[in-house]
Amino acid sequence: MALSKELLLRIYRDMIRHRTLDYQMIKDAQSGKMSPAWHSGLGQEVIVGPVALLRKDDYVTYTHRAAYVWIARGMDMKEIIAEHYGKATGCAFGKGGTHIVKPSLGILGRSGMQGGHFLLAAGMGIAAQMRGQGQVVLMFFGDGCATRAPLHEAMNYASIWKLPVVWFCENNGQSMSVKLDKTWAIKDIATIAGSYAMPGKTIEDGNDVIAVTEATQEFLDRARRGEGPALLEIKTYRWRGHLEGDPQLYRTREEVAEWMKKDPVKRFEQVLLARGLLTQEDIHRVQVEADAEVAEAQRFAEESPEPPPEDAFNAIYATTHS
Amino acid sequence: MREIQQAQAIQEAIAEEMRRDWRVFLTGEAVGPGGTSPTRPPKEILEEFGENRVRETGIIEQMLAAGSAGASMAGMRPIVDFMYGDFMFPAWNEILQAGLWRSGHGGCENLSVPVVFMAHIMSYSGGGFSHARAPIANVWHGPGLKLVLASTPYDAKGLLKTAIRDDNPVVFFSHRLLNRVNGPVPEEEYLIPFGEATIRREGRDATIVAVSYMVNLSLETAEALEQEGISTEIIDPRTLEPLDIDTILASVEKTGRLVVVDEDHIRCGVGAEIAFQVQEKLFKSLKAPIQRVGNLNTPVPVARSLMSAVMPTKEKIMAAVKKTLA
Repeated sequence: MALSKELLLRIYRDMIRHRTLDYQMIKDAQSGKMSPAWHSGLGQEVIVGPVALLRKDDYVTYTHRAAYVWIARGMDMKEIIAEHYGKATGCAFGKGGTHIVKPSLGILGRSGMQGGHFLLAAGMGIAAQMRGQGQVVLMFFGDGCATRAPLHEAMNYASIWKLPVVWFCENNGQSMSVKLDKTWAIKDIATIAGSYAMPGKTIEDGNDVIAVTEATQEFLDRARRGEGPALLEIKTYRWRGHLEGDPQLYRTREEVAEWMKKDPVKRFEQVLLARGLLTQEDIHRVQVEADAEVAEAQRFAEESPEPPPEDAFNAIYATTHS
Repeated sequence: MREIQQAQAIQEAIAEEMRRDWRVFLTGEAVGPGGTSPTRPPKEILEEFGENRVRETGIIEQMLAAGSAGASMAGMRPIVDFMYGDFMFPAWNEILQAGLWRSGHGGCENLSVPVVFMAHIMSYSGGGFSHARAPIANVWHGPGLKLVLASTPYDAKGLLKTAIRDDNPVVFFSHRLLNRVNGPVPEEEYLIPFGEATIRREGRDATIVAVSYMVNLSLETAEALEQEGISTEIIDPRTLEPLDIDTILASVEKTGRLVVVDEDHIRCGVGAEIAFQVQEKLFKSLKAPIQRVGNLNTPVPVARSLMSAVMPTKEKIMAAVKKTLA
């Protein structure tokens, strides 16, 4: 199935927008403008592709390394940066930080307990199934949190109940400072799909955005048709440490350099150039626009006020109207 | 008025709310017609609503809690039956996070988590340290969860219906020793608002604040005390979050003496919180130090002799009341 030109160009643009934003956030984490807990997604931008496939009323859950998900889903950079700065104009009004939220885009928040979102995603699948309007849940997780127990409870029952969930493993081979061979007894996490009687697929070259997006489309369609969950795994790599300030003693510079040669953004750019879908002028323009967008959003966040202290007591309980 | 058991009152509340709102569903271990949950719905419920809305499961406490929380964030209104209160602990992180979720995300676009976590306190069952706990104070401690303890069939039905319609995560406790107790429940629909305590018994000399089965135990104790000429007033808060402290304060202002009774561990417990709030407001009206009766700080034992040493009993409540009168 061919992805449309419009979709491919949108994916490319959002990959550049993500990358530009990510570099800004790295700078801010290093300078102390925000918490050092910035989990850079540089090197894993293929995720933009799968997210771009979603319908507006679909749900998506994300990992701690996820600016590409927020960007591809259509969030405004202003409320992303402002939230990380702890400003009143952030999407969670300065209460969430990296726990980015936008219910109208199907982003219902994030559990700080890694892997807790397997269960939340299954639950969103229950809601989608009960509503019966063909909504799906695209659930991103890393190889690290996948060793936690919630994966089992969620995947097993999602299969039993045929919930419309696509489990998407961003396998970057590193659980904080621990390598995959110390956290998993198997090499390909998608092989567990068989244990839950659902289709599973590993994409060894996980930095090929077209292959990854097409494979996701197949599983999303299947889930939308009511045929149940599936598990897609891609092998990829994060360029930065687990968070800023990570001394990265668990890997060599050579290993990082090797993966940087497989840059998903540059590779996609080459493909688009070769197909005549993109020109050097376009590349330049997309970057200039992204720079301007990030600069404006950063300025907005910087100039925004902190929330007033009394806001700490807001929104703890919802007011019931039903 | 007809009389029904508390378990039936709970079943009726669930069925009525499922009929009223297609977003309401029931899930839990053994909640099917053949299940062992004390409040499993009758067979007709499964026939009426189907497996989409009566989702019986095996042992998956984390999935029950967070799966239901996730469904509720996405617009549904799940009721989770954990059976034993103890079985909430494997899902403790997920239950607490349901309470933190809305505020933690700033209430963005009015994000809410309208889920009911129902469980039965299994005290006095001989279940021991991991099957007979009453995790009341644990729930009450943090922000974001509402906390309901029903001590009569009437309250159970009215409060559970309110809980299901509430836009927040609500923990609803029934009790194994209350589920089979009969009480008047009208045929017509009614709701009981949260945050309204009820006076179970009027009296002059001392106030007892008690929740769940401790209300019944305190009522029995009050009869015995009456024989000795001591008149006690018994307040059942019905919901601890929100707490109707005013009704408690008014009673203590009248009697000048307070005993708080619950089944959870005493340390950092229900009694500690209520006693603190009362002394803060009414220090000068108090005629004696406030007394607490609760589960002493030991794991719940099995042998009856040990259990009575640890758990609240009529004798201990009597002694506590008398201490305030000494």
